[in-house]
Amino acid sequence: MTVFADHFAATAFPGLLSLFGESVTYWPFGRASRTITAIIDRSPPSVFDAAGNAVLPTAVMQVHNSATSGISSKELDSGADEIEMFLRVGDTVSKRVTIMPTLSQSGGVTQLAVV
Amino acid sequence: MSEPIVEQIMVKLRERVQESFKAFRSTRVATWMPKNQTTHIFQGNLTANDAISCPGNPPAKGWTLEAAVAGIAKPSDRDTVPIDTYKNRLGADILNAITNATLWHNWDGLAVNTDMSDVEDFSGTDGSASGVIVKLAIHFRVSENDQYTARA
Repeated sequence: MTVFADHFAATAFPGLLSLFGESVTYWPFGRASRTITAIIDRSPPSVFDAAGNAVLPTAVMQVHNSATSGISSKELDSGADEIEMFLRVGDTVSKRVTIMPTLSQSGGVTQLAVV
Repeated sequence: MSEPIVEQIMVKLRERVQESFKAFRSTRVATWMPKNQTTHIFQGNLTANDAISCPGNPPAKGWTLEAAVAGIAKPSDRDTVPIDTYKNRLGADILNAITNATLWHNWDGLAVNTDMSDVEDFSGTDGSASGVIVKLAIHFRVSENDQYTARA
């Protein structure tokens, strides 16, 4: 990582996580789950055009690019890993969602789209 | 509650695919997740098919339903099998599931005939998922004044 990324990951992002983060459970395929903190932007449902215009709830989440406190972009398997989270604010039942693309992995932050 | 013939056909299509795959029909905001090897069943236009309409009292009205089964291929990032291999298997296995019934083409008497249309490829623009869409043209007849009653 760059020096800026190192500093951002070490000082700035933890502050953002403490203010805006919430707990979610990361389920790496074939390994034990772990609870991590993520900043979640719950987007409006989007159309999943590729497979027949299904309207699916989506979200973008940012986590530490770390295999302990977040999700390391190196370990991430977008085809098989899952995230357990509340799809709507105020939900009482969490749901396991699939990871779609990894949007970015810079500044010590892994940004994912989930659906 | 009775359902129109077109809906009954879609229910049977899902039941048949569900014997081999997880098969979903979407609610307005879907609750299923686009995982590897899942299928999404949906429909397109219902087109008048005058070739199978026939006179009578009441006349029988012919329709062609465009039905589709999308099979999602989203294997592990570390999978070394070519993605096209998964798509080829999905297309073949979906067709096998659909035809795995005696007189598969008439959907237990609800339809007159079914044509296999195309097996289309799809890929998400973000590369997150891809797969195949198996399309069917299902021809059925109903009473002109009762869309809930199939006519042989």
